[in-house]
Amino acid sequence: MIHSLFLINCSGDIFLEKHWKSVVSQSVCDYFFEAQEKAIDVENVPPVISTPHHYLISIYRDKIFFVSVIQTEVPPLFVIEFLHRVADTFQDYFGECSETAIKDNVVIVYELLEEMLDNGFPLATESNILKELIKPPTILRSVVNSITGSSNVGDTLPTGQLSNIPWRRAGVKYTNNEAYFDVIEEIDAIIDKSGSTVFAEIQGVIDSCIKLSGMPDLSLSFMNPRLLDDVSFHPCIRFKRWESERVLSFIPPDGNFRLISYRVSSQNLVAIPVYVKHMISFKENTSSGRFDVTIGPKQNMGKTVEGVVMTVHMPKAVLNMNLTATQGSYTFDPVTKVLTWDVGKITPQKLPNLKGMVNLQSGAPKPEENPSLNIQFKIQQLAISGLKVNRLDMYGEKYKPFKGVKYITKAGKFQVRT
Amino acid sequence: MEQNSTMLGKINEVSCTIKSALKGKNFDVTLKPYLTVEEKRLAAGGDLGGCMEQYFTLNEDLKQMLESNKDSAKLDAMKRIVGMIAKGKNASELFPAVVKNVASKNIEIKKLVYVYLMRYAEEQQDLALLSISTFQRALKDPNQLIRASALRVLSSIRVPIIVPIMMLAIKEASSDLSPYVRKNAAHAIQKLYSLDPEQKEMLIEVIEKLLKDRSTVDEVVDEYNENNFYESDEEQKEKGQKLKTTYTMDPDHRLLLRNTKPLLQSRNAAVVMAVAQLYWHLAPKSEAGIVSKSLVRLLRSNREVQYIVLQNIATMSIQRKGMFEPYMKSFYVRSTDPTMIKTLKLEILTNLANEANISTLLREFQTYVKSQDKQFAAATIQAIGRCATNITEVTDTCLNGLVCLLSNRDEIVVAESVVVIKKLLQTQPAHHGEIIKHMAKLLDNITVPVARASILWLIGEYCERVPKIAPDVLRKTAKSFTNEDDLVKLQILNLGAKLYLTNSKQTKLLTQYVLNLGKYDQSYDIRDRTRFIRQLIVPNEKSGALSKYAKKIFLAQKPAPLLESPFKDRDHFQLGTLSHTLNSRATGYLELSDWPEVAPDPSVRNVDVAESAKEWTGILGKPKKEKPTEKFYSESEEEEDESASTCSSGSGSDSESEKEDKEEGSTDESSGSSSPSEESTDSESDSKESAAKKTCRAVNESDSEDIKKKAEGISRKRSTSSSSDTEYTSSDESSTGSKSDSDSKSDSESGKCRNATSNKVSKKEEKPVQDRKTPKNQDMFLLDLDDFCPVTTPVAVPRAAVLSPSLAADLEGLSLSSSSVIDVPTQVSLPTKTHELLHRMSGKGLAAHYCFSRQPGTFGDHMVPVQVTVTNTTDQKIENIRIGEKKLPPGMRMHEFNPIECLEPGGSLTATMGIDFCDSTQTASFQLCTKDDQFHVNIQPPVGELLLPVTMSEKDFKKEQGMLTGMNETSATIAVAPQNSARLVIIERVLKAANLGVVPSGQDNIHRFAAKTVHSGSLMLVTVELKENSTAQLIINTEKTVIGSVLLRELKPVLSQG
Repeated sequence: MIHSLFLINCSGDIFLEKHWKSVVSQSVCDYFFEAQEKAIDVENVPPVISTPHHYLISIYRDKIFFVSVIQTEVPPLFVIEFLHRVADTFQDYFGECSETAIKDNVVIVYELLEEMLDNGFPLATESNILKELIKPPTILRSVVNSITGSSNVGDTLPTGQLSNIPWRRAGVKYTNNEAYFDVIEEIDAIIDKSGSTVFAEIQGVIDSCIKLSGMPDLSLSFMNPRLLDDVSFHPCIRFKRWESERVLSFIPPDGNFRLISYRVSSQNLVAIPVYVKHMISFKENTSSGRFDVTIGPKQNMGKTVEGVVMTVHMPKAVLNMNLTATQGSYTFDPVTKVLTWDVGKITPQKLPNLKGMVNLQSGAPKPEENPSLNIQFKIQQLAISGLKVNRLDMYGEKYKPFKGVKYITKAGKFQVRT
Repeated sequence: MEQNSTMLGKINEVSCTIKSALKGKNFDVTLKPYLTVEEKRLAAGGDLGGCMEQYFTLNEDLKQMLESNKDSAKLDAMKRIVGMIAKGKNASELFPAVVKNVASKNIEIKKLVYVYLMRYAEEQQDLALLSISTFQRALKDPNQLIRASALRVLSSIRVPIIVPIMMLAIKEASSDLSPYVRKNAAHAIQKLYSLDPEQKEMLIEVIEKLLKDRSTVDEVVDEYNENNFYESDEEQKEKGQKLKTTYTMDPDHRLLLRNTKPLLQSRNAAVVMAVAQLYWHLAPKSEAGIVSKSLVRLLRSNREVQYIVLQNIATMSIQRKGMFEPYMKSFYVRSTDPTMIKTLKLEILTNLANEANISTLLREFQTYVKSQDKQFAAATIQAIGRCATNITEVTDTCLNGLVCLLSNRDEIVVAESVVVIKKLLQTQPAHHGEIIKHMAKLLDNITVPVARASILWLIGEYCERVPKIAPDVLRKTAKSFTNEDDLVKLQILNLGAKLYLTNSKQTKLLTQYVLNLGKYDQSYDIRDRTRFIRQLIVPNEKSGALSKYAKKIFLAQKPAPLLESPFKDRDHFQLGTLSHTLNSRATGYLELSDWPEVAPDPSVRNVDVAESAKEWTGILGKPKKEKPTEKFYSESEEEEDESASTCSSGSGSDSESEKEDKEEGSTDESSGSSSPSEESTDSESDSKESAAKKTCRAVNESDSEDIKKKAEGISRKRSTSSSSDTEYTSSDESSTGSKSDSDSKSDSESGKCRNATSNKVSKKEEKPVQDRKTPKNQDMFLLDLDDFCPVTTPVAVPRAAVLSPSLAADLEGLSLSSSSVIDVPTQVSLPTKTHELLHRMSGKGLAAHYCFSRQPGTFGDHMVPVQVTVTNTTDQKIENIRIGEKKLPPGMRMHEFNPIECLEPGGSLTATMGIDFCDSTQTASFQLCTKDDQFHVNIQPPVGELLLPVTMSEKDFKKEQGMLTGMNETSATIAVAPQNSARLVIIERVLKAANLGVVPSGQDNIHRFAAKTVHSGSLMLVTVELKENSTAQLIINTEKTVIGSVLLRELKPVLSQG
């Protein structure tokens, strides 16, 4: 299975290596560098590379390449999934998954890697368990440790490892018992030139933050569970109950986790909350062009659309842009050719507009295609699919928890073709 | 010597650091202050000797710290050492100092020492042995964590001498009190095996012991585990049972498929992919479709996951388009996708293209062609080319579009278009002289070699069509010959040769000039070609017989190139594997084994753990059944048959089990309502069971008739599955024929229809079987069947088809809260009536029948699917059966079936076509053509087939009915034959006559049905209200009053007839 792991930063330095079996020389990464060079863009580095004696499977997260060395046939998704889990764990432990964070905590990283994988096979990957085996670093603890010389290795065995609920540790205690659920829905859409929807879909997740003492048994029900077309669950959810009653019944892990992610069935028409009027044109001879974009709200169910940001990857021939925004501010990066317009909140009375001139490289042919506009937005207190949490019940514990549900609608991969 | 090598190592080390320091990247981001000092010195250009001294003193420093008494100093040292290991620096010379600390009381120091040992034990085996005794002591430590990690490290030390010690440790740990230690023991087994395979026997013993251990079962399996608790039982099944159950729809096989299905909902992409892979390779085609939704879900994930999943989808979509067609839009490309994702999506879109969606797709492609990512634009043009060849209707459109692209400003786009146009023209060169001329004009501007070469080849190949232009082109290119790319030069030579042969008067000199240039070219390839051409075309005394045929050689009819998917050849690798991703065999890749010929030994399923015995009895009871199954297949000769029958019987039992699932669900809440049906299922399967037993016993006796009958039943089931007619398909040839046909069709041929038809067959064979029921066994099986009945009922239950829709409807009705109408795409339909399309007398031996298969959505929303079965009653092959000229009333559309190339004498084939009747009962007339003849045929739909069933609750039904009164209501009073007054009979008869959905009803005497019209989607509500003295009120509410009244007329006799 996974033989070795190399962490490589953007400038091509191998800053961490870990071997679970015999040692594989760093030189194996040369094949990776070769592929990276060929790909030009980091996004295009192939995740699976074959070398004469090994196979390299890599992921790119937070400006770090996680390159794993494989010797024999293995499902590539398994490795990819594991590497992402490793990155998630780092994120969880250090607050960020960056080169400095990893280097500062190299001992913990090593202990984690040791615990997560044994001889190339996963051992413990559930964050609740890992945190009991290896305590995450906190400022207080590091101070205490440096004085007393005590360790951040737990000396008791995590109970979860043994029980049949491996995602929750025993003996959780809180003074304030709270359970929060965030229903976050993202609209993926492609809007064509004329403003009609080519493709739209709602993808949602329910992220939970559960701080409840003891072993609570929760069940969460929806007003309209039939909306959920395709669901993937956190392992804590009882599948049978969902199949028969469409109720999410589970003993939650402690802390933050993603309860479910779902897709809303495609029969339901997706209400697109914004519209874009655009006029982008390039003139043949004068090496200039016009740019005029207006964003307006549409079917927003009485809620304000906020956090609107528009990014446009302009064609290579664009040299500079001279624009005026009636609202918000814009930046244009002449190197990457990315135009970013931070609009903010949309007020229907005065629609935000960005317009002005585009300067093209003189002599260059006029761009074939108009760039597509990527739009981000947020609507608070609204789940665009209409999904509603009906009630949350708790069994197994005596106290009364504080419960809260929040709805947010966001733009996912929202693209307007022009 | 050894010292030397370490010195060398160190020099390497240092030079390495210097390099990185010189790069200037490592300055600020170093781990520990001491490193910074070291590096600063290096950067400052301190001499090598100094550096090494520094290095030594540094290690000395660490050594001293390790030998100090204070734990904190030791810990600090160990942390630094781990930092060095992580950096890939050599810390091996600290080995003795570190090993001493293995006995440290401090758990963290211990852990770090373990980390160190795992890294260096292999290199310093002698020293590592020093630590072994400590490990042995640690293995008896009271702290389970220490025991576990000691075992983990001990087993990770890859030193062959300690194998016996490891073996001992594993044995001991496998009976440890702590499950955590036992889990580690399980992991250690595998490590020991890779170190010394000779221990296999002993290890197997330990594994057996661990497998009996309830709490560690998961852990053992963990070896294939992927982070997720779900996973364990999935992989267990897969690895353990793949080999033993892949032969037929054995209970185990069914169990495997059923139990893995929920795993599609896992959050772990690898798990979902593994299930998809399992279903792809093992499940019947009709079921494999369920994985597509989950795979599409994975596309929301990270770039890497997307990449792998898309690759696998690409392979799947080549073979089974139908699986992903509904999700086509999910594969639309966004401009922000990385190029590799874009190309994969494009590939899938191309695979999914068919007549119905090509127009949408081409519009989408148009956007892509303009993409700023030129590589992707070029790939799109290739894709358009492939669509054009695959779908003949759009070839011309595509060609025109591509010609437009020739005037594009971007050279890569133009070049790619030229190449694709060349390929397209080759497939139908007859009428495209204009395009060739246009391309000749372009030659002046295009500089991309491939494109130039393609144009030259085209002109050469079709030089007779452009007699004036061709010599001129040769003249121009002869001038620029020396500056051309090799590829172009070769084509110039070819062009010259071809022109010389067709038009030697004008081009003789030019050709010779070109040949002379080629003779002295730098590339030997070109010199070679020149020599070869010269010998062939220029007549001289030496040239032999070949030159006579020069014209034939050069201007032979060339076969058109096949534009194929680059993923075509990946399918021989197992889906989801590394080999599949790389498209080359990875080390350790195991071919998926063939379906075994004989059933595996059922005794492997004997689990002798008392507590688990209960769960397993259901399965233990089954092996008896396997024998007759085996018998079937030993009788049937070809392997193909085997798989076919597996397929059909599988689909049968699947929908069965789905029903069961629903029923199971309902029993929780309302066991009362569904119990009769369950009981019937049970008794049915019992009878099956016992019959199977009987047959098995009867093999030696003369009672083998039964088996034959069964085998026949199976083969008949198989053939009817595609032809849906029981009358004339019992001959062997016809069944294989129909099999291959149903294969070639898309998967839209879902199991439902097969199921329906097989129900019909099974009804017949059920009766004799039922007589043999042995009551003795019944009790026992009833118990087991509570858990496993779906598994044990591969034979369809005769009434299930009637029951289940209403049950399903009941269920929907129970929990439906507010919304009203739900489409039921998976409505189980009754076997439908077959109508004659073409009598064999009037068809010169070609007979055709049609029936309405009631499968929704095969050809898009408005089409009514019609199954046409053609039979050859002559003693010659009938070739090229297709639909010719159509005479359709305005608005009506028809989706033809794919032409049938050849029909063997006596053979029969089934094809499915779609007709949009526009909600009218007007006749669709068209010609059924063969190679030599044309026959006029008509299809007139009964009004009942123009409907699609919908499910709604009683409440919603009443609400909708309330809105459709007055003009929209038609009613009649009818007499009902006494035997027809039972609920089930009414439902059966009505459903037979019209494609309606059953609405659950609170009253016994009122039966409600709902449907919508296929074309316009207007609701059609039917109510049958039984009155006294065997009359009934029949009410139909619909906006489409005409259809309503026709339907009323048709339904009237249905209930009154006996």
